[in-house]
Amino acid sequence: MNCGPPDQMPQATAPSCFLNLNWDQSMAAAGNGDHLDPALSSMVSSPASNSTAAAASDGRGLHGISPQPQYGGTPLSSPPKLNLSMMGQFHHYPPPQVGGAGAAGLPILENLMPMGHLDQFLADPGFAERAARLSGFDGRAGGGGYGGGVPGQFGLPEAGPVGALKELELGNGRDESSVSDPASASAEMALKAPSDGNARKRKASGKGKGKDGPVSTSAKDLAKEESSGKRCKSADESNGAEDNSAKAKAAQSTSENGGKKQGKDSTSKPPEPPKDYIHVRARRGEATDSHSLAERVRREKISQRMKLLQDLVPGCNKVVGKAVMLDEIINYVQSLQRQVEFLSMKLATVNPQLDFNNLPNLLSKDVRTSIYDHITTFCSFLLRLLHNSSYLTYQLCNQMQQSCGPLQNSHFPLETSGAPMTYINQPHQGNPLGCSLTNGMDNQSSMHPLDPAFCRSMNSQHPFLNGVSDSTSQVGTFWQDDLQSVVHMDMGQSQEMATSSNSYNGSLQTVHMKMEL
Amino acid sequence: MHAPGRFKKAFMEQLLLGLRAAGQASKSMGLRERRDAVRLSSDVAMALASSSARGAPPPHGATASWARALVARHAAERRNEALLRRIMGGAGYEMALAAAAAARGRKDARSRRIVRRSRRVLSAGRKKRTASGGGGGGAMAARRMVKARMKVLRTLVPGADGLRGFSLLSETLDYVACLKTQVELLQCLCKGSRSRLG
Repeated sequence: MNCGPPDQMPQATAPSCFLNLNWDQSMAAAGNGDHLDPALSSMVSSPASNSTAAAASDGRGLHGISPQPQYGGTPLSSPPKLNLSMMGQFHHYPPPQVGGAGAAGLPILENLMPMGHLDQFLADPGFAERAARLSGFDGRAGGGGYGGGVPGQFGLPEAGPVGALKELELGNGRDESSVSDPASASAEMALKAPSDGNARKRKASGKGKGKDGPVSTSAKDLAKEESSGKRCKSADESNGAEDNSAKAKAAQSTSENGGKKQGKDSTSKPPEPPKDYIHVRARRGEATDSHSLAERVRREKISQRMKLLQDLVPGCNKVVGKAVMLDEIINYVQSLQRQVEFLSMKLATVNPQLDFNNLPNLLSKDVRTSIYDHITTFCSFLLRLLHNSSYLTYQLCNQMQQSCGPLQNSHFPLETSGAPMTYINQPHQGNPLGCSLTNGMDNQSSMHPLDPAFCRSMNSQHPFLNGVSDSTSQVGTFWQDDLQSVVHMDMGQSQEMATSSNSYNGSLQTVHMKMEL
Repeated sequence: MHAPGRFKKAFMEQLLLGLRAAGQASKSMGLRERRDAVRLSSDVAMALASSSARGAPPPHGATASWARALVARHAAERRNEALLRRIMGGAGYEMALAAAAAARGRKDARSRRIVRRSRRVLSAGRKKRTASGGGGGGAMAARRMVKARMKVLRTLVPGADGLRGFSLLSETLDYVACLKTQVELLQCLCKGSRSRLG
């Protein structure tokens, strides 16, 4: 990613956090944890006007969960990395009946993702898969074993969905036929992420073949406030003909037998330990030859995909039937493409030079403007105070730029007096400081313009700045912390900051600057 | 998608970089050219971000197909060469060109295969129709409708030309999700630009 080298974590955090002004969130409350992820994720949560309401409620709901202290979820611990990114999507739906594992995971979750902004991604296949998987882990006591066992077998990223899937396969049975070969296990790993998730979701939905109503509807409710753990638990008790046959591709060549009876499901079996190949349990009243089984597998996969597409495409829930749904999907894709074209045309007209340097564009407008106003006044005030120490001012500006604008979203009309400006290129066209610095170095197009390393290289060119590099970094940290807290502040609190800026009369030393917020 | 937040962030960064490159490259005043440049950079950004967000491509390999095909589609037009080179770097551009050439080759082979297959299906279909009789007529019609719509979908989704039912749906799913993100991000940029001006 272009956000800067990974070891520049604190600096990268601030700009990202700066960007993700999400006022309804109490991200400050969840101050620990990985800041980069929530910043990144919430940063690009575009003006989520529709989701702010949800976000508010979610924030409240989440507070209810946050006091949970321990994190003892063994199922969650095994693929920790995967969980960390995925679980961020889950805090939205605290499954009520999930025990310590689920709730314990949530305190971490709330650190990771802002709440309301996942609405558009709730229907994401990845989301569905993660939801199902997480709930699956919660739902069964033996899930921990899978979480632990499977990753070793299949590799970490796909461990979750596939492992959980394997749980559902019935290893033995009299009238069972294994559809796939051992090689397909690895091929199954190769299934794409959506298909992994889809297969996972199919576990929840496809199990309902016998009891169609609750499970299939609840499968769709994956995106809603459903207790996935409960669902998976009920799905467990139902028949377990679940699989993920990569042989479906081969099965496509099999002839289509129209006369398959969707009979009653066979008796349920407890989940089997993961085997190397996929077992499909034949349903009662159905032909048990490999062709029909593979056929059924393929159809199930397709229906699961259609369900996911239904969640993704708005307005598809009402229609039933493949043809009409495909129609809707086609219309939606066409409309999206037309929208992209129209928006690109609009962008080209609105912004002829196509310079998006000083765009505070990721936040809602009113919030953004107010915050920028505060920050601007604050910064200009400081700059005026530090007028005599011009080189320090320069450093401040540099740091500000560094922390606020890797994505060039900073918007400081620097009212620096003449002295600092001698060390700074004259910003033209209202470009912020960093961009004027970058213009000189634009030949390095590969480097991100406001890389911390880049700024540091700029710093090193000024000999008198080398001595103050330590203080600068300190200042930088201060700035980043403050900006971070600034962006997490409520609207009301931001007023405080504006007033507190007035209290900095004359007592400011850069290195000892304590931002009181 | 693995992490929509991460994808969005990567997308946005790439988009901004690409747009800046487009702004520098196209000093052309033509509105259409600028619009095409914007669209190109946003498509490239989407493709790159999705590939990176997906992590290592699964061994089966056909998954990022729409991303690669999208970029290849843009690379096929000569006039985009400069901009593409700038955005993706020389190596990336060469890859896109290679993908475009491969796609064209695959398309010929595929069309031949499709013709052969359709002949087979036609004969099989006739048999099926006689076998299923009146009761299956409705199912036949439904199936035909579905097939027709799948065909339309194949033209819409880039790089989904030779895909069968299930994989086609997967690609569509991915593509729809990324398209939604793209629209949102472009709207963001528009709003931001507008607020800056007004």
